Amino acid sequence: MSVINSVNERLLMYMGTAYHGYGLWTWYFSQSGQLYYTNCPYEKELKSFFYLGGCMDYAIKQQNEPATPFLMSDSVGLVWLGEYVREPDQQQRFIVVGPAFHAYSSVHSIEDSLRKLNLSIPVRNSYVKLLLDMPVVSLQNFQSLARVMHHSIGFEDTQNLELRYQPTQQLTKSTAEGSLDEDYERGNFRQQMLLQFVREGNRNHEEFIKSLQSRGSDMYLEGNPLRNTKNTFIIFTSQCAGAAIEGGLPAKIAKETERAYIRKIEQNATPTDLINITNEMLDAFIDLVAEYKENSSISRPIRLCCAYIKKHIAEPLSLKELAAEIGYTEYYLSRKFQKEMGVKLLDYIKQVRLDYAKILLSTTSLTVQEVSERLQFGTRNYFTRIFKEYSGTSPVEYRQLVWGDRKEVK
Amino acid sequence: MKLKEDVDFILLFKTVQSCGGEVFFCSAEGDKLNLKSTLSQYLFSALINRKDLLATGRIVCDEQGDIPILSEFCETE
Repeated sequence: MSVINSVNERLLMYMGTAYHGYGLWTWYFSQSGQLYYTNCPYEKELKSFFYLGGCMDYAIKQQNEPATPFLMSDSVGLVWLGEYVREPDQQQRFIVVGPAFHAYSSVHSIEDSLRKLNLSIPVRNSYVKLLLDMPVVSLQNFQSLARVMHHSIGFEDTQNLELRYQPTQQLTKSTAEGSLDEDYERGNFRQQMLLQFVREGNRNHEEFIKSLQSRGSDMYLEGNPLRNTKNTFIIFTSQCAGAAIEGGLPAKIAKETERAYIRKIEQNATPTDLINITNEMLDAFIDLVAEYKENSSISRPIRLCCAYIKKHIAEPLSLKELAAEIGYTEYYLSRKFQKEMGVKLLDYIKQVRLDYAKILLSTTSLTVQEVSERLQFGTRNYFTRIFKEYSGTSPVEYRQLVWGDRKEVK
Repeated sequence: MKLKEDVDFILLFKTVQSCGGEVFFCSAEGDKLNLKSTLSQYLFSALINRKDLLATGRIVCDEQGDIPILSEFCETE
């Protein structure tokens, strides 16, 4: 078998993979940002986008950084991937693939925003048509492409490769004429900040959210018809799922959570409900990512198993179902779970259900019987007994302790 | 001022940032894009190959003193 020794030949093959596999165009720049070559039919437009998003400045600054692929994105939501090619006796150059959206919903979000700007049809259509021609590539696929890119350039192992991400604050900011432009940019900044909280599993996001709500006007949240608001929230949910995956949450769990919240958004009728659901969704993603980060000593299948249990806690759960979900035999899963978590699998499910029962008892007016049924405990007597063993009080006593005199205990 | 053909948009945006006042691209269709705004710059970039729209539009400066700064991108009228 022959090995392709030339970097250029390997990159040529990479270019074919990026285009034929993902519809991504390839760009070669000098280290000062001069374009050498691209196979992109929208060369002028997208080169301008690359500059406007601050990606060009960021890419140029990477020439002094260690050889690692870097992921860039602009305020429109387009994503680009780049890496420097360093060869002996040659000037550095960098290769970029992109741009692409990472979710199908991104263009629709932009279309919604443009409607408010009263643009003429030719101007709006030129922009939307261009964006509609952008491929959609998930961030996971970008990460795979980054590994292949890095391997193509340096023939190096990519097992522990870590990508660099263009920080939000490096996006080009400029003075806007009207309040809509300001809202667009400010809204985008807030959105990026929240996504960063998700990515990091950072539970300190509530103060930030409070500061958002006290700032008043926001084109993403205010004055829209319900459909537009729902669309915006659905898009944000998808972006949170993407950020959670970037933060280390398995894609399967992220996607299940995303689907569950999109269903909730579609089912709920008022904007207030939608805001509450979105806040709940944000909390859920941040908690899931945080748990994954905290439990990094626990193997991935067991973390997957825990997340699955929490996700389906209101449904009947069996060892058989969990084993099938994870791809282990029942015996092996049971042993491995106990070894890593220090608790038997069925006891863990019971603990999680009792934690949820406490939340339901303290935050809803569901009867003890209803809580018991909702969390698959069966009879009220059994639930009361288990609850008392676990928390030292009966469900009714627990509710009395939490509620005090506020409400009548059912 | 009418925009010249084949203008380097990136250089134009950089130059606009050095202007003291606002600079607009006003299309014949009634659009008014503030070339100092990022969103408008994106919209304007999408018109690079719409020579018909660019040819019928005008560059308008809020401050007269900015006109010479942009003269290399515009045709004299």
